[in-house]
Amino acid sequence: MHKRMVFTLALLLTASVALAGDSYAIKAAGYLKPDGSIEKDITLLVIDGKIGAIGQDVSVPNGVAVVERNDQMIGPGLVDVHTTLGTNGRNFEQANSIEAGARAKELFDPDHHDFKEAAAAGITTVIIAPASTHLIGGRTVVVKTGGPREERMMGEGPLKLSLTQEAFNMRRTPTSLTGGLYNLRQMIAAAEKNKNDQSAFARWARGETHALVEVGTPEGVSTLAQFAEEQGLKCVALYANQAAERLDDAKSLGQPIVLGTYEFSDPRRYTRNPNILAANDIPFALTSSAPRYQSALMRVGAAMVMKQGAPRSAVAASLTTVPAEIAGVAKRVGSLTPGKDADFILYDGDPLDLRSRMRAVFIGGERVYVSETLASHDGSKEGGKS
Amino acid sequence: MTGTVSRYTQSPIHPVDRPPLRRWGKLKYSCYCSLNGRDALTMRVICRVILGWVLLTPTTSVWAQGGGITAIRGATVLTSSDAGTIENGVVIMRGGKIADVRVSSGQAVPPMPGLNLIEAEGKYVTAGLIDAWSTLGLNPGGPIAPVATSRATDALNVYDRDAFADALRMGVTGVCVTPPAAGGFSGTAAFVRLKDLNDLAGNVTDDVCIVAQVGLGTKGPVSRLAELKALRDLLETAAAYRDALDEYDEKLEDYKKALKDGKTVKLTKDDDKEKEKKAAKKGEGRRGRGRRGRGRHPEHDHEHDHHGHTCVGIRCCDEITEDEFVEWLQSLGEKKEEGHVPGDDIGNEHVEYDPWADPDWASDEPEEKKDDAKDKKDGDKKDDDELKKPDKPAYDPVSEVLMRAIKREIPIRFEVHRPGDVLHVLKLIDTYYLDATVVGASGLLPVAENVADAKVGVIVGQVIGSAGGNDRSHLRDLNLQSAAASQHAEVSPLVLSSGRQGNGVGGQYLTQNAALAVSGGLSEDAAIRAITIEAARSCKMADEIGSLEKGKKADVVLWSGHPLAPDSVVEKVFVDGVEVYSREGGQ
Amino acid sequence: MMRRLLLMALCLPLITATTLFADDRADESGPILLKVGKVYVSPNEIFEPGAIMIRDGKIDAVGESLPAIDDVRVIDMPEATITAGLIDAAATVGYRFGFHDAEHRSEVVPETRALDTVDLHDPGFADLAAQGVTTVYISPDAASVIGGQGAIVRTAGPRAQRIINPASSIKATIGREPIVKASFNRTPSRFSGTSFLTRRPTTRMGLTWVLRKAFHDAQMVNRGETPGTSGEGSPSAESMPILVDVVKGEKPLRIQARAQNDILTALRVAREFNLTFVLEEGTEAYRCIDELKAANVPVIYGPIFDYPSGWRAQAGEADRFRLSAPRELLDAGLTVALSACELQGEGGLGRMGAYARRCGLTRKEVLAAMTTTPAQILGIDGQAGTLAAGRGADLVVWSGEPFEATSKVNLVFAGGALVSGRIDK
Repeated sequence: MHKRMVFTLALLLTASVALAGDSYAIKAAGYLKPDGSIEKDITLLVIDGKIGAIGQDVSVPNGVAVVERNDQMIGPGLVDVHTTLGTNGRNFEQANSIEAGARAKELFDPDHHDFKEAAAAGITTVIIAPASTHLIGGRTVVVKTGGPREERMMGEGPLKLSLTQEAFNMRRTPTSLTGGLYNLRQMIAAAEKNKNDQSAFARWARGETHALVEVGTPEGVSTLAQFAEEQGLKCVALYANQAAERLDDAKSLGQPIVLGTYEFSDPRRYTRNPNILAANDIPFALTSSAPRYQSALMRVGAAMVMKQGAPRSAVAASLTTVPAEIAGVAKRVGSLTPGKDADFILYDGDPLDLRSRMRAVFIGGERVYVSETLASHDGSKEGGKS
Repeated sequence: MTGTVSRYTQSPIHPVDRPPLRRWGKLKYSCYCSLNGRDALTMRVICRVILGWVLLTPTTSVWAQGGGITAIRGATVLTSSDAGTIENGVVIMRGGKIADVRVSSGQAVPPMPGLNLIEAEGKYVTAGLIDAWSTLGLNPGGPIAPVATSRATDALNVYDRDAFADALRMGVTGVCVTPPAAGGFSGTAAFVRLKDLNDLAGNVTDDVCIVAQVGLGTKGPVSRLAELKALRDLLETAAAYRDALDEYDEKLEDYKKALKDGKTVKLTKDDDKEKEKKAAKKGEGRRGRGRRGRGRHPEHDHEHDHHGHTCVGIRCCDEITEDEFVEWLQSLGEKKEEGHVPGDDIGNEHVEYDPWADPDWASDEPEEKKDDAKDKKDGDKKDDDELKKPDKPAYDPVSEVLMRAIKREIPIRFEVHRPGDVLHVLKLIDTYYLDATVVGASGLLPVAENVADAKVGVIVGQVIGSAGGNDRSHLRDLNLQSAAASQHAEVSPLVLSSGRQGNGVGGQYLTQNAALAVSGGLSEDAAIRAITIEAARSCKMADEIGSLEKGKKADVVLWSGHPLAPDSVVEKVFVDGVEVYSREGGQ
Repeated sequence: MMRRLLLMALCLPLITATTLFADDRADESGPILLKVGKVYVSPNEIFEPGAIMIRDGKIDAVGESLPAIDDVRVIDMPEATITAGLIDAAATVGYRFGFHDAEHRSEVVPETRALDTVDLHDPGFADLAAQGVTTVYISPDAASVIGGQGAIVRTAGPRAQRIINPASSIKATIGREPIVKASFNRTPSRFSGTSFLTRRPTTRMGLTWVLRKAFHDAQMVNRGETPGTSGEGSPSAESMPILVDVVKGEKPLRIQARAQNDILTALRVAREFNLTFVLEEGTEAYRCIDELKAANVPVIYGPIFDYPSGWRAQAGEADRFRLSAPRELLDAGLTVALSACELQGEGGLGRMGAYARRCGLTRKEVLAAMTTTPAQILGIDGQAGTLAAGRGADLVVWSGEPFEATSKVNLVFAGGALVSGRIDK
């Protein structure tokens, strides 16, 4: 095994020359399709940082280098729908609870070291959100964790709100949920009257777009469902961790549900929720809540919920297509489809299997991470057993 | 877990009702009053025995399963033993034990009363998973720092049925519950077998091992040295205590013999000389070995010349590195004066008599006590000739616990993460010749060979997000690879467990943790063994559980696919041959 | 002997087997005919014996005896009685956050709604349903001088039937609670400066000032005038529309007051601004019966307890509590409803009914105080409070006469569904 590690590392190093350009083809043992199944013996063609073609019968144009990775599989880059990483400074504006005009875009620091960790965990696209300590935190931003610099900023994402207890305190108004919902009603009524208002809040108020609303508890899901029904809003419940206990309310929201980060120490009453949601055709997304939790826990959480019975298709979607749709970038990322950005990951085996190691991560066709192996650490001990 | 935790309700517990036998006895007695007294008594006893057996035998196992054999066949059996993996195997359980594990003949078997045949083609069978390091069932909260005398059993909530049920449905049949972490020794662990969720208390084994932590959190080098010193001091005291107790035992034997013979025991100059000789033998440097106390470490028969200094203990001095030599020098600073042997201070001096400190004394002949008091008043001239009952050393609860580790009666676990701390702990283990395991070990990569050479086992906790502050991205791969590194260095046993992340829940994702370790380079076979037989070995239960071998307890799990595969689930769990979980019975 | 023993031993698995397989709840859909000893259609209209037919969640018919037709399931309980579901007109249940349920940015927040912060799946609702209380008015928190709008909800039943009125009357409080409870009202200081919390009230004087200022400004706005100095103490622009509605008499108002002087203050303020209100709690109402009678104020009296506890004990406002108070109020001809407020343990409202009877009320008066009168006060007497054909089934089946210490609640129907108790085959 030791020798194999060294060999693989050497292979990757030599192959890096071929991958320096933006067009190349990779022959792999398989790739993960959006429905969670694996198509075997495929070729991925990357042209100028985008996916040119993928499948079993792909003709590689002349002049494009072909790299053999027949022991590896390809999976789409993961999309994290709620993080607070990569910010230059704090992400909460303390004085006011309602900051509808705030934009996380202004916090984005492309050189922040958080992004490297996220990329190393296979997360290629993230939403950076304002803090949960506001009733209306502001607008989120969707960025890539690596790749060509000019393509890092993808655009602005949905509005973020929070109806949790964190959002309310006695230092500023509104001090409670009742006050907060009243304010929202007034603001929504004003936006509905004024059709010229094209701000993010107004468009959400009129039901044209969706927003991320943090709820945190099952009671929060019910409150949100009631409010959304009353006002005709599209709300993606964020951290609705026990949404399965309020199934009717979760269904009535009519939007995907974002579930929090799972750890090995979580009891089953949390980790069985995705299974129940999937059985009721409610799409869900998993998030890593980085940097509060390790980015690597996103993939681990997916494996955990699969063990609790969630189907492969729902789990694969929860890491890729569902969060991409919530972020509004489903046309560019989330699956390995021709025309989308070449954000993908090379795995040792089945991408949804924790036994498969992430060998390399690519964003926009550019390799942003390659996994260290025993070989690189054993450098000092080569005299030992081999 | 993000978000606020909402209300958590416990399921009601219905302990097994045991009707009082006395009532039945009385009834029967009235029926047997015609018999003479002795026969009636015998009849009563027999009736009670039979009734007791009938009432106490679990109805499910005997009545429901027909009191017979359970066989699972057609599956791939991962035995976790030398038999390896058996394709198309059959596992036969009878009487709570594994009767046989072999290749299945594939013949059709007619339905027989008492035979429960499970056809399991395309499925996998493993031994019940064992979580060797977990906080499952411990009452959460409570920042009180545990001490060496704490016991995990005391904090175990045996009614936390939900947490144990969650673990059981993921294939875990045995859990070693360790006390929560705090620097130094934190007490003894308990082993819980998930045989009957309604009677967890009846399946708990106490004092499986002693747990200690070194270098947790981001402490500086000075506090780490202090921590190690504290551990060393406690162990040293325990060793001394053990020596003192042994000495006391010998003296007590002599005293009792003398009492019987009517002789007096003299503390003559000859005795003193003997004592000096012994002291000289012990005084072969700080780490010399006495006749009793610390065990004789076979590798430290100092045959060869050590250039005038004492063997450091890890490797032959030819291979000592600069850093280790410096460390050894530093440790010398704590050495006591030349020729001092621990234990000298105890037993030779006269200990003030305190009846409450020594219950043995209080129950013994009270006259002796009066005589001694009188003798004391009479002066010294009688001391040498009088029979003196030896004084038992004062009871030291911490030493009582640690003594068992020094005597190698129970193993001891050190939770360490940094490579440097691992080396220190190895030295400690070597000094006291402890039966030890290194636990946590997220930074094991550079020192795996040292650990293997020291023949110390390793228990790896959570591979991602583990404690020890190794969450920085450049060390992430270290975490993933610590298990693989251990395997590479041939550490034995190599165990994967839940670790200390807990809040009273754990064990559910042993297979996922193992899968992560596989992605770090561990072989799949070693991964399965790490959560079954090796885990049992680290809890000293490898004779009874941990693998599918003839004669072991029938703790068997049937999986829908390979246990480490992402979508395989547990279909059935048997503990002691009884089916305690079945997937069809409801999620 | 041995044989007997063996027989007993063999019976063991059978016994355990039967306990292992729990009996399924009988299918509750489909028409049900309840035949009981007495049906209280309303406090004055009684059928003895009586029968009620429930079909498709509605009361099909009520009478002395009804024919059992088609596939109706007949449940015969000759000792039992049936009443309409009890209504608690001043309950505190389902709040999620404690003192953060009330909005504290101002002491006058009638624009907020209690329902926004109530969890309809809170176990407290199920407890109330099990006690026979099928409808409640969720009373806004007493921490505000003029609090938000309460909600009238059913305690259990199908989701579509739960909310009867999401924004019902607003509640003002005169007493210690707005001054003391979760109060951060303070004077400006060198260290903390001023904030929205630098405001009244810290005394009853300030409290009444805030109350009067609110209605005073509302009256001005109603007349088309601009209220005087705006700034600290004036009601916010958001609260004005609702305050104007109250002044106009279009929005109901209730005032919580326990001590006699507080009740008199409430009457005085109401007289000054020509308001109609409902008195909530009214622990010392028996001391100002004439004034209440003259102003024709309905009283939601409660709770009935042995010893005061909680806020009313701390504030000393319940020191002159009398068990005979409901009797005295009724004798004077006042409209009296009984409520358990937040004391919902151990039988709750039903048990308080037994206490009330012990202290002089007749069974019919207690029933009226818990069904028809609160329905009338809350404005839902068209759909709750009495048993009428065509209405959704909100009824309680008692094991004996209601409001007896020896009776318990057997079955409860709310919104047409069986929400408490089981019907075995």
